[in-house]
Amino acid sequence: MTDRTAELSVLYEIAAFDFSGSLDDLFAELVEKSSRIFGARRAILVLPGVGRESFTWGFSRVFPTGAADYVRQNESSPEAFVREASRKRCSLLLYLEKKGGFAAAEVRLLNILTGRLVETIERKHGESLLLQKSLELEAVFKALPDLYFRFDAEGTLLDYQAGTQSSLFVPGASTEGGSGSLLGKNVQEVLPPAAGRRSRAAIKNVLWTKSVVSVEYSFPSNGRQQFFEGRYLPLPGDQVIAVIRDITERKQAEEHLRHLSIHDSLTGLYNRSYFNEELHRIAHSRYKSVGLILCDVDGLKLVNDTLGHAAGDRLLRAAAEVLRSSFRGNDVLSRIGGDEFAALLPNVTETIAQKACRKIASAIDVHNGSHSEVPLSLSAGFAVSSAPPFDMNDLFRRADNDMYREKLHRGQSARSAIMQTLKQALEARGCVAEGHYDRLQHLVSMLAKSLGLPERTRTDLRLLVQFHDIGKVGLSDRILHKGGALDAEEFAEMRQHAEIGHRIALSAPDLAPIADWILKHHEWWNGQGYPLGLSGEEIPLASRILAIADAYDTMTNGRPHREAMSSKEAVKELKRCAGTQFDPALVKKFLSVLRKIDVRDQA
Amino acid sequence: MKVGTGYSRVLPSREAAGRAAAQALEGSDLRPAVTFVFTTEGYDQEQVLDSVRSEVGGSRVIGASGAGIVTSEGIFEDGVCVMVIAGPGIEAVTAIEDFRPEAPGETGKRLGHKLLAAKAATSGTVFVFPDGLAGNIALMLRGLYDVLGPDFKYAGGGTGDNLRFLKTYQFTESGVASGAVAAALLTGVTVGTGVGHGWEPVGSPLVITRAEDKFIHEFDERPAFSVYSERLGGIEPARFPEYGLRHPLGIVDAAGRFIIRDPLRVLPGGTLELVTEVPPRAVAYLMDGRMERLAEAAREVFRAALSTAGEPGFVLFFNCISRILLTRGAVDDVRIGREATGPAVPVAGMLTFGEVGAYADVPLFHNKALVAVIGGQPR
Repeated sequence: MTDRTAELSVLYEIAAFDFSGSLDDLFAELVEKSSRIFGARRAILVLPGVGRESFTWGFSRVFPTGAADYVRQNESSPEAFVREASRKRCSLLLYLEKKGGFAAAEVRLLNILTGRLVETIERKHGESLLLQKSLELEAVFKALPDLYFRFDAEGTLLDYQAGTQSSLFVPGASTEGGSGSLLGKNVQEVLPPAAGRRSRAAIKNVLWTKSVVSVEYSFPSNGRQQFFEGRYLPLPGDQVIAVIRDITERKQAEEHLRHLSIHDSLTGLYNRSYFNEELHRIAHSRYKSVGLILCDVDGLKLVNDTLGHAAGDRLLRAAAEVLRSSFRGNDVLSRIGGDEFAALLPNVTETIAQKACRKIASAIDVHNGSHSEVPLSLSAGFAVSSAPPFDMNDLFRRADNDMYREKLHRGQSARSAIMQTLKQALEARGCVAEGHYDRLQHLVSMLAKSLGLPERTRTDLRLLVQFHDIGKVGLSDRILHKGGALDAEEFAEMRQHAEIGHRIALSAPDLAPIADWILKHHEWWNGQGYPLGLSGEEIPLASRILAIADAYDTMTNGRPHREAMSSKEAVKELKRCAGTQFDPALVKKFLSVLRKIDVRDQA
Repeated sequence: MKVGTGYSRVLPSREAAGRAAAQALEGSDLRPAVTFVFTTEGYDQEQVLDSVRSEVGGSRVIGASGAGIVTSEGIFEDGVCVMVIAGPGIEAVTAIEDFRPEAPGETGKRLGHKLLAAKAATSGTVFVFPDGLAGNIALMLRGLYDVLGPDFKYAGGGTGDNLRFLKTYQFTESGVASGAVAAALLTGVTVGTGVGHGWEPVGSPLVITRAEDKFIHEFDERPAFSVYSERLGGIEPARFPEYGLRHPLGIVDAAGRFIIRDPLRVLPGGTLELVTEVPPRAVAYLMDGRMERLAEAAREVFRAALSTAGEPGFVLFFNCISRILLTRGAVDDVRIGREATGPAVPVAGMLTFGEVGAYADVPLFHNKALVAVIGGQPR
């Protein structure tokens, strides 16, 4: 074996140096070769910037804590071989030691080994980074719900990856046979025509502009219309990556927001904001004429105060339905206020507008015929403008005045209708004992007559008898129909009926004169009544009269939780409470009225 | 320094060991610092150890089974051979470690740490006997060396079982093991070592283009056996063992020295299984062994060992079984050794399955080599 042959053999082995594992494996390979081939007895490899920066071998317990420092301190030793080498991403410092030193030929070969070493590390580092990036990318794709496609310049699908979805949102895509069913097909074969054209155009655009292109497209999938946003990016080699995101939910949310922004959430009609925009648009439109109908719900406040806002909302929704059924599809129907509605009618005459108002009235009658709990009443007014450009402010003003006139005309009868409805509702709930109002009327009339009260007062007293408990419509059935005594919380709620009744009466002109009596009909002579704690003659006479008659009739006719007393027992109770709960003078008077009634009845 | 040797070839294990040990101790009143015990397959190793220990008392014991024993009267395929070494300042510690095939480097390191834990020596001679059937012995040796370093000498050999390749044994005074590596650290003795083989390359090189551990799949990008066979003019796979014995592979270093790798068998697909791992992408040569070169190599080994041993006090032989199978009758390594050291120097050793020896400082694992350890007194 000549030196040259040996050198060539070693040269080949060095040139073929490689490693497939970790840096520890690399160092192990380096140690094997340097000790076996060159007789090296110690080795240090320093890799700045790498996780584990230095590797040593053969140092026994004399372990150099600062490997690089050791190298620097010993690099001049005749037994040392020291080389630094670097590439783009990595550098190394190699130290080998051999007893007696390395021969010149060995040094030459070691130089080559060092170069091969740094190239291998550089390549492995690059591969490692690439692998890491690839894994990161894979993890990102798995985490994201997006789809990824890679196309060539002609739009042929070269690769794809779905995120968390098993479906690719590709109509007709088969998952059988895995990716083979889609790869190699053109994007226009894979997607529906319109979407395919947009996608193909995006690919062309990206390759032309060399910049990111975004497109949106949609097609029916899984029984609904689905929307996608694609971002197309150029790749080297005339390829394109497309990242596709399902934006169906976003689109639906946008649509929902858009809908909310122009619609009234309670009734579903357009809102005030949209109505104003339409006013502006129509003002500058080419319509020959425009009509405006304004409607106002009568007694909404009364309903809200007595039956609650839920009942008021139902009334408003009923009004909206009635109006919808009365207008054409292209008429702009809006809720423009709490109880106000408006309809914009393009290209109409006054006759048509009047006809529309009559149609509203008919629709209301139909509604009320099948909904008896709270009658719907709308006051409507209209105006038409036939001379473009239209002065919408003038149109609105005229329609509003017309509506107001209608309201004035309807006002009292509407409220009376509501009042009667409320009284009937109370009776229907079983809050009034049978015949109670008739007996009470009789007792109150007799007492009022015995007191010599004027006819007008006696008339009001009769009204008081009928409506003194109207405020109970605002109480819950639980309170109204409780079998036993009310607890403190329940009694506090019950006491509110005096104030509720007072408010109801104030809102009805017929009952306004007796509103104060209704408020105070549960006050006590000694000031321990409610709601105000009035005493003595601070309490209206009518309230005091009613209190005694009501108590007597209730005691002698019973309640759900209490049996009826005899007249004798009731009289005894009235006497007992005279001066505390009741006006003592009125009690005396009432008792004498009762004796007269008894004598007459016996006669 | 007092050294004694003994051997016995009787069959009963206790008797053979007892006789060998007694012979070694004869005429010496010193308690041995270390006792080397070499056995062959067929003996009850536990009984051998027990019997030797009962003779040598508290001496450190290091031993192994092999394919044969080496004595001053020659090499025998069976028997128990004992060498005891005693003297002022002579100390020894032993250690044994399970050979973990998945972590051979770690195995060597742990063995090294055990030796240094037993004695915090800064120099000495390390005798290593790994299980010849275990994992990557070369890597184990580099792990051992990493812990101990270049200030120690290294020698030894892979344990065997008379070429049956079933189970081999390694032991220290603490017991007998299998699938392990046993080691002893001897201090207080001047030691010289030598390693060599005498095999020479023939023909052009073979590039090991694909290999893994002990298996060579391809030479020159072609099935390994096909290329091997062509180089030898065409051989049948059935005759491979006989050719492999005569024509091992040699891998060259920068100094032009070869480390030998013994082919063992052909596997389906043309893969060659070797006795020991081969470095991947290395350049190998077919080797040929002329008897005169093998003999000269033996002489060179003893010259090298003697150059640093001082006045020889003992010789330990670690001779490859495959070398002996070829040279028997033609080359007598024991005679060459005795000629080099003198007939009175005690001799012991074993036929190994791979040899541990260093061309320079670092112990390598050889095949078909002779390792000689000569211990003596400084001149």
